[in-house]
Amino acid sequence: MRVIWDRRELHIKVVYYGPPLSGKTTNLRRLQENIAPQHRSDLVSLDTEGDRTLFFDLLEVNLGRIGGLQPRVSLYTVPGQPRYQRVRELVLRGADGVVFVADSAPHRLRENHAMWQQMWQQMYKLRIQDVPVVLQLNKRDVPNPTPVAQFQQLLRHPKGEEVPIVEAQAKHNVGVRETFALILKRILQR
Amino acid sequence: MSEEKFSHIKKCLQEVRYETGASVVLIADESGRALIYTGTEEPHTISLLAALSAAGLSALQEIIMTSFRLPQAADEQMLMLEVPQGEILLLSKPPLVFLLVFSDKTRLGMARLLLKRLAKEADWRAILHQPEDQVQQALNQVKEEVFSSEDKLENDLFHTLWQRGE
Ligand SMILES: Nc1nc2c(ncn2[C@@H]2O[C@H](COP(=O)(O)OP(=O)(O)O)[C@@H](O)[C@H]2O)c(=O)[nH]1
Ligand SMILES: [Mg+2]
Repeated sequence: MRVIWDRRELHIKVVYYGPPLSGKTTNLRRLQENIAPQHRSDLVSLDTEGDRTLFFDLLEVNLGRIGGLQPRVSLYTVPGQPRYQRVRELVLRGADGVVFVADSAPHRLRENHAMWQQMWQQMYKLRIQDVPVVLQLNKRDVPNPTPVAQFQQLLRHPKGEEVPIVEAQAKHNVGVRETFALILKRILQR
Repeated sequence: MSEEKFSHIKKCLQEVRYETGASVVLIADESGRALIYTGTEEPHTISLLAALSAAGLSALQEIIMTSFRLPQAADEQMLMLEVPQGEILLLSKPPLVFLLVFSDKTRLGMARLLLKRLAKEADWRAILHQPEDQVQQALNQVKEEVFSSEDKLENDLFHTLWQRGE
């Protein structure tokens, strides 16, 4: 977090990370739809090819005034395609919290795992390995979703800490708000 | 930074803006946070510009490093970007990024010169400095308010954030 003291602003950066098409942009879209316009920006998507994010999406949420400061939360998504590894790292820089959006479709399990590994590698490299991480298991509505226990087995915290999990269906606006509230809470609690 | 330093730097930015006719002049940090700016009071525009500039410059450095097989990019990089809002001139000078948004009146030569001068003269330590005690106190107050009760965040905060009728 950074306080811009002169403007009494508290800047919080949250990055939604995860494999391609897991629902990162959908999370931001739902937040934009649900949050009152005076409390948010428009969702800006940079360079999209079909519905795939090439660079990042950005949504800004201002939480009004809390305890003399004006918290402003910048929500970013990263592009999930393997070839954009470096872009992910750039966007991740300076994050105060990370939401990992996993895809519950059973055939995406390995991709989730590979991205999870890469996320931690990058977080260590950027020295943000201690910022809060929330694991969102998205697309719980698909047939035969990967069981939660299996995710817990596979997507482990490198230091063995417990990672809070939210089950979600971003498409149907389920779990989106809970995820956002949880990461915010964890960030502010630190 | 102190009020005095802040208004001094802001004045420098205003001068650059005035002399180049730029619509916005802005200083951001490397993770894309706008630190100080002049030209618009529209905070979301500013945030987007800051995010863009940090990302754009990092991407440029990446391209330069891979294309020329450099182990490390040069400290100072300049980049011109065209976005829907117009043309943007970016200058990276770690740990800061300087940005200028062109208007019809802005000439590239002048913009380059003045942005470089600004980057050279800007005291980044002062820009990044925060009155630690006051900041900590303010942060504690935020936490106190948010966590005053178990569900405070959920109930109050999201009640105001969320549109009615959900
Ligand atoms: N079945 C299902 N589809 C979803 C869900 N969330 C998102 N999607 C769909 O998954 C696709 C990719 O979503 P998107 O947000 O663009 O993924 P991103 O690449 O992570 O940004 C879109 O077609 C979404 O409608 C969900 O909860 N369930
Ligand atoms: Mg996307």
